[in-house]
Amino acid sequence: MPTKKKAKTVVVREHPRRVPVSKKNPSGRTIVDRHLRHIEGQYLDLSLIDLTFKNYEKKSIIQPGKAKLLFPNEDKYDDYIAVWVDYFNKKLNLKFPIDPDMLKALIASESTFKPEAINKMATGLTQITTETLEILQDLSGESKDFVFKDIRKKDLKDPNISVALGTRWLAYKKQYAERILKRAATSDEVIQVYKGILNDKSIKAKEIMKKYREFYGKLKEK
Amino acid sequence: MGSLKKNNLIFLLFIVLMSSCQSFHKFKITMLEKDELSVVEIDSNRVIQECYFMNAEKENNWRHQYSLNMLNEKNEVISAFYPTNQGKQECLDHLKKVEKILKKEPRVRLCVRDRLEKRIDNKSNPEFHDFGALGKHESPYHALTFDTICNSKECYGISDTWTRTCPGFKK
Repeated sequence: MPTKKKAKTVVVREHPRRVPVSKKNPSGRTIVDRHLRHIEGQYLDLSLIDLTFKNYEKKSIIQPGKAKLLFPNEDKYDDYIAVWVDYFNKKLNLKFPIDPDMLKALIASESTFKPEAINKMATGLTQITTETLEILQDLSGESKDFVFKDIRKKDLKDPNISVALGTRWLAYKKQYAERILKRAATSDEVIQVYKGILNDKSIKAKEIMKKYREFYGKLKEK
Repeated sequence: MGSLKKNNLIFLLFIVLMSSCQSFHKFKITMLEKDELSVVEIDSNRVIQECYFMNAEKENNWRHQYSLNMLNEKNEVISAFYPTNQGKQECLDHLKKVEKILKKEPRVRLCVRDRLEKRIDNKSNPEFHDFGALGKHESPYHALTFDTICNSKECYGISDTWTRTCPGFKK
């Protein structure tokens, strides 16, 4: 049985840093507070996301289903889904791996495959909120095992970035669901946790899950 | 006197016939073969809208579900949802645009997707929709997906994707 790796953390002491001379910093020096250091291999920034996707061995990875969900561009992001699901399943050593069909059906229900999908609270294909973005980049936060660095809200309109962060968040939610259920979580339960409606017994919540289930069911018809 | 009674009877018959004809046209759903798409023709006063706050947990408590509820000729509610959750403001913006179409004319035409199926868990946790003078009614059906609404002069599509599939949709 694989043992779960504990995330390494390195504390960087308060230190001076040279900065461009400005009204705020006329001396060209500033003091950086004590902070945690990003460890190589345990974080992704914009360039690493791009590089990882480009260089990923795509031949042997599992692609999501191609069944028609009747949305424009619905298969356009399949490579991103396949790569990031495979990447995080391996990177986080998930006992119960993420299913690419689950992520594709989630994207259908969150944004109908519109990367520009934005409202004041959530952005992109996987509808990541500002709060989630903060958690995903917090070295001492809920997802500290593997974090992102220097990703801004506007970057989430990029499908590659949105799928990468969405997959990481889905993996976190899956692990969270398994912790509270004390067993493997079903696709439905993971999505309910992702959407924050696990304990919602309303008809509206049931209908939302019915739509998700229809997408997931169609993708499973291979 | 006899002819007056006869005239009254004919007039009564006429009223009954008119009202029954009218009730037949209050709601009509026609399923188009392509992509499980249906066209609904309905009296505007039989349509109500809702931006439902999902009260979802943690970072999800922005989620609102837009739904449009239609009252059919049997006084059953058929709901149609916007396919994704939205923030409160975005949801209310949609609601206002649909309201504008509804207010202008007594009759509207809608395009909706998915098959109309009865819910099996109908009895548990019933949800009533208030249609004002037409009373409060519940829905025995699963929700459809809402695409567009038109009166005779203007249309509104909640998502550009589905305006092309709706017959007679004009921008």
